[in-house]
Amino acid sequence: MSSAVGNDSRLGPSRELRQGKAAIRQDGPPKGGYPKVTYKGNFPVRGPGATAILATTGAVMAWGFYKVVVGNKQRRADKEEKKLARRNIVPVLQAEEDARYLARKAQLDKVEGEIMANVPGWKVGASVYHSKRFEQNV
Amino acid sequence: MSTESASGSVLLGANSFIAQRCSGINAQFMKCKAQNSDPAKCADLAKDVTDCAAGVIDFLQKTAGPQFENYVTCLNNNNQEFKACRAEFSALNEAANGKASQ
Repeated sequence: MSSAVGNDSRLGPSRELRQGKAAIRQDGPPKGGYPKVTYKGNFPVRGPGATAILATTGAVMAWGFYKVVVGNKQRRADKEEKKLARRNIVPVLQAEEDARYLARKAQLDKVEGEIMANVPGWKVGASVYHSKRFEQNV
Repeated sequence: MSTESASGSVLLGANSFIAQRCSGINAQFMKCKAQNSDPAKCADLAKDVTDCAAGVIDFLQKTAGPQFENYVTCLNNNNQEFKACRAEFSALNEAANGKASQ
């Protein structure tokens, strides 16, 4: 484009170009300038809204509480059924245990009688306590 | 058949029938136990209680054998929870009490 000497592109366009003889290719704004910058926020109102959200939350909670109450009643009924079944069986179990106890006590008294046969004044099966209340020891 | 061979599930499975049929003697026995701490004093009633319960289990096994066994097996498999075995229990009820009642 120009002579080799004195042509350093770091210094910008050469003299003839700066005088407008030819269009300078430069980076610059587009024709008509840049469009306006929207710096204001763009937040359109959308979604259900606060009242609807609160109402839904309240409804869900109310339904949940209702289910809890119903569930608790059912659990109480289940527990009561279990307790009633055990209550019905208590006499049978107690009778079985009493029979076992008496049989075992008779066995032990027999052995005690054999061991202490020659001891004068020994009462077989007598309680070692002065109290009259029943002391279980088998 | 003695109750010694009745496991927990058998007794629990039969509990409503035991309550139905043996409530009188059971109440008498419990009253006696409340008044006397020595088991020897209530030994006769204890025998009656055991016999009554054994009779109930016998009756269930005779008149509703398969249903009773189903129910007891179901209880055994479900931690003795009654609500898991409603179907088996209603079948047992029908068979034991006859379709007319319950």
